[in-house]
Amino acid sequence: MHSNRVSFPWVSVFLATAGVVLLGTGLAKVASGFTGGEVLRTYDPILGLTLGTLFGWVGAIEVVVAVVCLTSRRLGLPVVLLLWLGTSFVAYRLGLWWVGGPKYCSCLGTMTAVLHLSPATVDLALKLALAYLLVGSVVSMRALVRQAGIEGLLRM
Amino acid sequence: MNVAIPFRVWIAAAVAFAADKASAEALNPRALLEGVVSVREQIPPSYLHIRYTFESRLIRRESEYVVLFDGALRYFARTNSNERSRALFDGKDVMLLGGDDSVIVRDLDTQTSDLLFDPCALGITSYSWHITPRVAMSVDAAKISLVGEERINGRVCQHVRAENPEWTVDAWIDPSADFGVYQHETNSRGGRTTMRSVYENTAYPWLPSRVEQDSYRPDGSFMGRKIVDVLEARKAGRISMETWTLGGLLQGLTLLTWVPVTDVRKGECIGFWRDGRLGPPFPWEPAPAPPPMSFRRVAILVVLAALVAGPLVFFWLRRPPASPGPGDALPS
Repeated sequence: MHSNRVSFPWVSVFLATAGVVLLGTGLAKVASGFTGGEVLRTYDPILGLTLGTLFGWVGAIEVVVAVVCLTSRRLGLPVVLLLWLGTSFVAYRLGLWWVGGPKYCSCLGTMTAVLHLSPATVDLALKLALAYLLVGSVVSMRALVRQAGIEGLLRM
Repeated sequence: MNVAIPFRVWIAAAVAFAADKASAEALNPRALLEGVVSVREQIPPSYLHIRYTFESRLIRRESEYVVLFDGALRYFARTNSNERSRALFDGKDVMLLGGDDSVIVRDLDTQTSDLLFDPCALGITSYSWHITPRVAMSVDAAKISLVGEERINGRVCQHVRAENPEWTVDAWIDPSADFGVYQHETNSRGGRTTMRSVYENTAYPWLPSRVEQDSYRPDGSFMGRKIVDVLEARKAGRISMETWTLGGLLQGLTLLTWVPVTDVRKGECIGFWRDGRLGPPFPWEPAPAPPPMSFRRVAILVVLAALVAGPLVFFWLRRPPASPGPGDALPS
């Protein structure tokens, strides 16, 4: 297992940075639930859940994936989880655009207002982070599959 | 018989006639009332600390207020009570903070028992919210006359009477002392009100330092007495416009809960004051509705569900077999 980290040092670096990014966004979502902002009472246009509930669940999943990325000695599982999360987020954003949802994703919850950041800036930063997670996980997965095949991916 | 009048007598008569004419012009009764209004309307933004006492045959009530005013804009905050009581007029609306930490918004014409009279009209109004110095002095009355010179508490005053079909106002004015009104009396079908004022604060000459008001019923019987003692009066310099807002009304208060703001003219709660701003009228605001089910939404949900569950199912099915434990029999 340790040899995998040695064989793919750039995957390790990717997992570490991706873990930090996910930990930040995940904690921001969870923290949003405690600020009591009016936006938390509104409903998500796709999932039909209140944003307060959605932020709690998605934030928790992001934190779990981040912890796996930062602590797992394997490479396969965190890469699969990142690809899974990344594709889900992309599908969600496409769906949001398709149903004519809000222009900016309120993915950081009320923390945007708390930190006095403009929604446009936060939205752009989150799109870049999502692209980083998606591209990084696809490239990492391709390299790992080439080495061990799809069967051996989770063993790596 | 020598009837010729000496030249010096003619001169003296002419001077006396001119003096009388000038004096009569100076004591034009309408001009006297206008003089009072003019002085009152030019009072600079000020701070007052007043004690308001109400006495009748049955009760005696005393309360103290801090008053800020700038023209018609005014703010009254009761200071000698644990119960919060503040009132404010922002030039358009009256805002009242009650002891239950709620704010009522109403018109100047719909007066309550809260003190919010125009301080510029102190001594010439019976503490009605809507009475301005111009209204109190009846400058626009149908008939205004100079009754004559009279003494009020030893001070020589000009007694002016303004008459309307419904009421009569008598004012005793000293034009030589900043047009101070030393006595003011209103007679109407509702009874008689007499106000006597004392001016002692030479540093703040525009308003009396004490006003005693006695009210009588139409039959002449005594109804009650109101006394205002101005404990402190001074120019306040420039008062921030923020003072004449809802934020100014609630400034400095530790508010434990959301403060409901109700506009009684509309008969509805217009919002809740919290964290320095007026928010929506939660919880009576209808809750946001969940999104309606549509083809697009269903399609996206299916795709999302497949994306979320698909990889997990795929890797779960193709997970590596568990390693044999130490007690497991080895295959032959």
